[in-house]
Amino acid sequence: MATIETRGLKKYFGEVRAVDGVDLSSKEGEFLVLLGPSGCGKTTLLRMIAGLEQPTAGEVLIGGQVVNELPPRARQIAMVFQSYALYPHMSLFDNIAFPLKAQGGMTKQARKEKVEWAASILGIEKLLGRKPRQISGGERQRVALARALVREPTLFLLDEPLSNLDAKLRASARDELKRLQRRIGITTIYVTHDQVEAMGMGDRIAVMYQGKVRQIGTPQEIYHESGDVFVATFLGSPGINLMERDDCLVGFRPEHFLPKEVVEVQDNLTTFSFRVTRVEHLGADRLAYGVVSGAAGDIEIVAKLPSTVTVPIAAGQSYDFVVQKQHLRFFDKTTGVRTEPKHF
Amino acid sequence: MQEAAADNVQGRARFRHLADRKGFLGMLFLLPAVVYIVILVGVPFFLAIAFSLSDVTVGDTSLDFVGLDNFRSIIKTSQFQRALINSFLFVIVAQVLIIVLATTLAQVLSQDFRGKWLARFLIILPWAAPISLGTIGWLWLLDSKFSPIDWVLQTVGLLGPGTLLGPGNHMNFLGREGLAMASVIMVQVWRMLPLSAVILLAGLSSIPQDILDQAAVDGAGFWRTLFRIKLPLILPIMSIVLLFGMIFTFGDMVVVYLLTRGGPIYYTQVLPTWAFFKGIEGGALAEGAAIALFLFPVLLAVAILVLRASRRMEVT
Amino acid sequence: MARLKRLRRRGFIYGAVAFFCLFAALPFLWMLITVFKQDRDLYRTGNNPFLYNLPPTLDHLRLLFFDTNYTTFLWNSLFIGVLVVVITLIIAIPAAYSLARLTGRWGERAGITTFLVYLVPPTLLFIPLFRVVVSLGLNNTIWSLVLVYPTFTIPFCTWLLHGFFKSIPKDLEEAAMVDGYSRLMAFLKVVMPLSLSGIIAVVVFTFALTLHEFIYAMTFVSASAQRTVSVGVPTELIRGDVFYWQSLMAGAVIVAIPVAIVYSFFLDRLVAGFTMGAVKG
Repeated sequence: MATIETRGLKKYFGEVRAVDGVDLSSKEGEFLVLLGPSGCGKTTLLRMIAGLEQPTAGEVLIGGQVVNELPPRARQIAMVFQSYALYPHMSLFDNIAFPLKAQGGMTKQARKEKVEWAASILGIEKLLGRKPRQISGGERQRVALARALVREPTLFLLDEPLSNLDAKLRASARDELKRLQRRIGITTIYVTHDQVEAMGMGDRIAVMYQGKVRQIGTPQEIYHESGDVFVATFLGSPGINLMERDDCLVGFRPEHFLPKEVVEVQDNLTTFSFRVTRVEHLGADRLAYGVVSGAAGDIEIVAKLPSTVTVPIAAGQSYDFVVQKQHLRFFDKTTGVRTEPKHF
Repeated sequence: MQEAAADNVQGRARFRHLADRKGFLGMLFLLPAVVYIVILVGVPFFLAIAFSLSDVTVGDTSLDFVGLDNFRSIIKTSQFQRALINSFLFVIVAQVLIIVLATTLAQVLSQDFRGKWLARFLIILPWAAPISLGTIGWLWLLDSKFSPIDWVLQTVGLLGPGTLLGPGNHMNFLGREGLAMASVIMVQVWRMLPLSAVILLAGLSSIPQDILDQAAVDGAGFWRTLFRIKLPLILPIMSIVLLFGMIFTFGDMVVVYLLTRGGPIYYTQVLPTWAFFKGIEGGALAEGAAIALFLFPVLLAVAILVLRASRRMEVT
Repeated sequence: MARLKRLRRRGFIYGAVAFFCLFAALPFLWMLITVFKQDRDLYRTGNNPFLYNLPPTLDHLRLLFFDTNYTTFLWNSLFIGVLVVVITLIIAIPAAYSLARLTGRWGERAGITTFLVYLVPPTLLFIPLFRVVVSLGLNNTIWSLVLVYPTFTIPFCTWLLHGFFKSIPKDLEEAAMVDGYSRLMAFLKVVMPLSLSGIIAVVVFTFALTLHEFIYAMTFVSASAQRTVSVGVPTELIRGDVFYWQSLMAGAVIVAIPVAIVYSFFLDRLVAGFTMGAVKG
């Protein structure tokens, strides 16, 4: 298995800086997610790693070797596109066999065995005679994965492979994909804009915005110890609550904003007077939308109460809500970077 | 929208009703076209059959039935056999060349290069110009005495006494049996190449970029991608271009008429030109019609193939 | 290594482009040069045909415009073209709309039949049509062509236009009908304006079709003053055995180049129409 590294990687399309200096380094066998909103450069970055785009500057290293001058087929990578890109005029068997044929050096029998091996891992052995238009979305995804596996690549690149599946299928597909990767142990770079996918699957996540990597870390790290305002607001649903205080921004997550009476440890708390405007009952949680009065005026805040918290909350009422001081996060107002806790 | 409220509501409502009715409007809209076609294509078609079975000429306008005499007398002539073979030769060789060249050209045009707009302009010139006028240019370029092509060949030493294409100083493109046919085919290819290439280019552009990227990642090089991915995916549109081209070329007479008049003697004669010479210039309308009718079965067969091919257009 | 490969590839592409451009444009480029060549320069086999060995002259252009019926030819072609386009549009637009929207099963069959008609070659029909034209007394007039040209322009236009109409979402018309328009008015007020660019492209190419047409023009009209450019130029400028080459070339180039320029603008639309019309929904 290979490691992938980028050094100062840039891609400019005229004036547009799609990727603006990315230094990335993956570990062997890791599932690395590139997460960010559309336009952040994650797909361009992936395509440069694949060799489908030429970098404007910087280097791409696979397994320690600079591969900038190598075409995609020489990089020993496999890629799955959002559309799955199955060859519509070929049977599924031929689709999966295609990379083997292109590579050459195998007998027809050897190819057949390889295709059947890949198909059995994905559970699609019975479908091999069909054509792409005759199978479902979930099955197409598996064919694309089988085709990717069949060459036993050292690097796996996936570009939002789950977005074309319907919601119910997505969850089980996520699980299968992660288990597959674990089983085969192949270094994987996975691009998505969906944070649930990213958090659920990634060993580490690189959060990207405007062509740069804002933070790279485990799901825990980027969620709880967000490096800047962008990462903090991008992750979490509903988003982090932010308030201005002096020259910095103070943030706390909705799940840490609780009624005073519920919190066991009663010291090291910051108290707010919370005027509730609306409550949503989502089943497993309650979301309370409301307003907190601060120095800069009224600020809209969201509280996320698990169903285990049964304190009655009604719209139009005011309550005392608290946040534990350890859950407060401080960010510089101008740069957005995380700073040391200040007195609150 | 409030006009409806006013006077004569009942009459208005009725008219509105007619202008709304799907079936009625459909037929009304289609009618003029159908009528026009039936009268000016359908009727002449049957007239052609009638003529071929009669002895009508420009002078004698009475339609006396003579059965299959015209057909019998035509088949016996060596000119007929030559014209028939030439027609097929002309069509098949020209179309094969067109498909190969047009695919290459389409592939080239799908790349980015500087001056593309100029290249496009030059490449569609043969199609944009009226064919009779473009052929005139070739008439001189292939002239037996003054051909500039001859001049170039002479200058580089390929033509003239003691050379590869010698010993004469002129190739006489339009006067020698084999060369004349080749020249006629070449001009037909020249005129049909632009449109075919443009249509194939559209076909190539419709291949999703994802598929091509995937092929690149999967390890396919230029040739493998071309033959295993691109060509199979544009096959439906290619077969339409091919079949349309065949139909068109089979019935066409302009290039042969202007370049060689069917000559030398009748070595480049094709069925349509022969029909023209016999029927219009010669005045023997019945024989001309009979000759032209030989075109029909072939055209019908190809037309059926076109329909089948267009049904297979949905691959993805 | 990869750079070399890229250079080689570039070289190959430019080479291929040059080859095709040369092949396509050679007759026209060369015709353009020849127009201004003096006779003594042209009819010398030793002279380099691509250079002006003697100074260029406008004599042949003068001959073309003042001594021949060229301007008449141009006018005839224009006149016929405009009339035929108008007739065709009047008949083909409704027919195309009908095929695209209003008819079901039998409409599809009507569509196929129209398209099949287009495939019947003029060289099959021209003999009976010649007799029809003679008996109508239209022989040797441009009206014979005005009458007959729609037989191939109508199927062509109908086929192209029905593809364009089909690509306009039904929702728009249905919204108009809910808003109070009849189907007919919805067609005029919604579909037509949206298809305008497609219609313009079709007009351009239909006009070109009439301009190019040779077989019928050759058959029905022999009087010089009634001829079109397509037939007049090849026949008139050959008096006996003498070819007035330079004027011939001029006559050809004057028509070819503007048409090519106009074509370049509308090419994309036309191809879209071809492919849309071919892939039946």
